[in-house]
Amino acid sequence: MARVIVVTSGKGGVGKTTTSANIAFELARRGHPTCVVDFDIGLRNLDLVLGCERRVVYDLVNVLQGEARLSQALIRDKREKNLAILPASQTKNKDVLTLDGVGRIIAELAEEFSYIVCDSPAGIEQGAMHAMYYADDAFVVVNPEVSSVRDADRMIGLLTAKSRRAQMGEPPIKEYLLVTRYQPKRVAEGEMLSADDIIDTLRIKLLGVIPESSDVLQASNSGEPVVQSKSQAGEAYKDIVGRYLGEDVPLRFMNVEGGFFSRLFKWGK
Amino acid sequence: MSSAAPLRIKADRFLFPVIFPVSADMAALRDALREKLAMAGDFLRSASLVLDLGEWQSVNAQSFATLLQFIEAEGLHIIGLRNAPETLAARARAQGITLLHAARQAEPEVAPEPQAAAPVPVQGALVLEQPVRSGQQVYARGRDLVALQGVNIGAEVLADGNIFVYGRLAGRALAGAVGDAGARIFATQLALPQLISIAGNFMLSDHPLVGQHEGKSVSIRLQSEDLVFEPLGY
Repeated sequence: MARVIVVTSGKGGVGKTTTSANIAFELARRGHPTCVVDFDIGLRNLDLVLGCERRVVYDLVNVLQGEARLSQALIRDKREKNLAILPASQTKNKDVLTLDGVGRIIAELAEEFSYIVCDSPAGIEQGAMHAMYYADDAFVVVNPEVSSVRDADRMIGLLTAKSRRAQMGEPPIKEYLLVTRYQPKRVAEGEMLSADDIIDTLRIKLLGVIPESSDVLQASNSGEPVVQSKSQAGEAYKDIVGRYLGEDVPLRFMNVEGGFFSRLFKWGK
Repeated sequence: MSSAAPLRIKADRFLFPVIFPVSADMAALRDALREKLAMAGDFLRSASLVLDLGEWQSVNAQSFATLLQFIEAEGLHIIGLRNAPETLAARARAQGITLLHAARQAEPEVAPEPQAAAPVPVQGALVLEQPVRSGQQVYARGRDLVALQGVNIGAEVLADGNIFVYGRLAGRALAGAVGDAGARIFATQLALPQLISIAGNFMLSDHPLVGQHEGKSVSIRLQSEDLVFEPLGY
């Protein structure tokens, strides 16, 4: 049985696309056939982050409208043979998505892939509803700031009420929390919400925090997933996938780094 | 005692949820119903309901049929009809729906001068196992409400009876919603709630008393139109 993961948030710009790309890449690297679908119609980005922009011929909308077969639109990743990308359309209107159409595509993808990662547009509008409707698991991406947490709270409320699982009375979607752009130093100084503050409000399972890092930006811009590098953010995404798959991985990157000076500082205490 | 009666007949009271359509807009009614069902979770799943047409703005045979249809389609079952006009009564009876009388005949007029109607909370409490999230509104009609995972900012809980919040109360809480001045609000962690109200007497988050009790466990009750905060425990 394929597992459908929706990567969602209440607010834009929190790192959904980066998260989708990296967890899909890591799932594939671990040997699970994985497809990542870009639902952000009109704002095609996922292919950029995964570095296959120039190979996009057909997209999700073409498949929905019967202008291309699914196999024609799927882009196989050159680095990771288990990974495929279904890009979004940049030219079409997002109103072309229908629940039935999306359901058909997911069902077809489920025949080939073990994990289907849906990169959702931000917010509570229709496009986001389509992306989350068929989900089994939701990765709720949040930045450590009040507005992001509050919007995510609203989003989780909708996930519990409006998904297919909710409407069919099946076991609810499993919700997981990912905190991105985390800066332990600023948390320690009280300038940023801590992961504990966020969990206190949202009451869902924390899968991990991604430290703020210029590596992420650089990786996104060059089309190389950050999980391929040796960076902290890459390690954090690997941990997250491990935890999602049920491994017992201790949480990292939550505290101020234990560098030379901080060790010195502790001795002084 | 071996001579147990093989059958008994007695007067008994049953409590069924009553559904009151108001709007004439079918789409809006349907959406509102789905939202309520989603919120009520298992509580209303495939429930038997009484339909009260007293407040409905669109009483005619056709819209009545449509209404019944989509209520059934949501998995609910209408067993009784109340406040229906003559024209619909016959049709309902033909469909096997019992007609109920609106007036409570069981209670003869005890108090000739009814005081301000302060309905006593009835059986059980509405227990919310999930956090009440931003944008959600939950109403415990005629009973208490228990939120086991807190009430987040942007959420609203209402109860005709008491409200118990285990965890953070940051949203809006309105107890004694139909005027029960004896209702109380309890919270194990008062997290600057947006609004606290008992029987219509309210306080906003900027009130000094609310600020003073931030992060504390409190019980809030009404004393001659003033909200009184008392620490819980210890």
